[in-house]
Amino acid sequence: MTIPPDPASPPPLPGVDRLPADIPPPATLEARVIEALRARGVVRQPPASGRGGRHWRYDAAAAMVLLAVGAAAGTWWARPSVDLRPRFMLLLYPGTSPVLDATAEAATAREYGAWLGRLSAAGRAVSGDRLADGAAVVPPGAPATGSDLQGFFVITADSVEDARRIAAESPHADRGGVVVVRAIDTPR
Amino acid sequence: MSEDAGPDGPLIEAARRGDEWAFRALYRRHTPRLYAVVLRMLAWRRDEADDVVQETWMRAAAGLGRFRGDAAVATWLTGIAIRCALEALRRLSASAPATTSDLDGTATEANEPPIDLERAIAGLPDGYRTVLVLHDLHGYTHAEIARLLEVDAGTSKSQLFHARRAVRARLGAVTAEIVS
Repeated sequence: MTIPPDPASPPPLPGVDRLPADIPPPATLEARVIEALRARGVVRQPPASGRGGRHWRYDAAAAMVLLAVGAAAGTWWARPSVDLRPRFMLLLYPGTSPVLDATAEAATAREYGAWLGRLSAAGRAVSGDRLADGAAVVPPGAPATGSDLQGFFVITADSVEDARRIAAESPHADRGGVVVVRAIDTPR
Repeated sequence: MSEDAGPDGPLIEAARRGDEWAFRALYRRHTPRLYAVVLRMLAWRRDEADDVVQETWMRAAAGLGRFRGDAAVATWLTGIAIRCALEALRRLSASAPATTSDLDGTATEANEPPIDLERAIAGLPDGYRTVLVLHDLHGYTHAEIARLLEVDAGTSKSQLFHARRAVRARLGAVTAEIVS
């Protein structure tokens, strides 16, 4: 096949750079993949209790930390915001949380405290909380997409990259958790 | 290619130990990109794309022990996905030869891409479409494409030339229909 010289090559297609680089897969595909991995003995099914003990222990530590930081900061997430920068949600999903002993829980508390303290001092933290286990699904029988969400923060940031950097510095990400960053679309 | 510098290392280590949560985290982090590449390579045949993505994760799981971190996890996974998609294209081509001269011949109504440009790309012959998707939509260089497709870089450039021209022709025809 003849190779055309570069000057004659058609320029990039208009609009191609606006096509999404990511396309969400069907919601059912994750379960199918995990089931296939289980069938091959590649992954271990978590305990029947759901998240498993070690995750629960991590959640418990995180919850204590959030409560402690909230109390220490007084109205940390009740403070009215005048920040007009874009807001983002940091959605906390389970990852590879380590088993936490008492020493580790104390360290986790210090890490959350330091991280939230920095955000609060910079006026970036708006709210946050931990979610309880379990989810009600409507209509009954529909897939409980996102039911393993563990908690969330709402922050202000200059851009999605800035929000992503904040998320990457969070103790949750440090400990192997997955943080999904979503822009809040409602203007203020 | 741009790389996601997320903390994949601990997840990979945990996945090697068979931790399901780690696999789920890796899946959620990387599958939207894998799915986009595969779906486009397969001209929006969704059922086949699902199969290819599943096979990608099976092979990735089998290869975790050999993954040494020389490449980013995203690059490694995408390479596996592209190879799986190429195999699927060969199977599909063998079972139902495509009418490669017909730009409408590939995408079926059930798998209709959402916009004209995607539709025009989906209608390309397999070889043109693969190169255009990898180069123009997902940032691969001709050298990288040449390695993945086991062709030389000149072939990749030539395929891209013809692919872009065919898409422009297709979009021009659509525009002409609308105007008339």
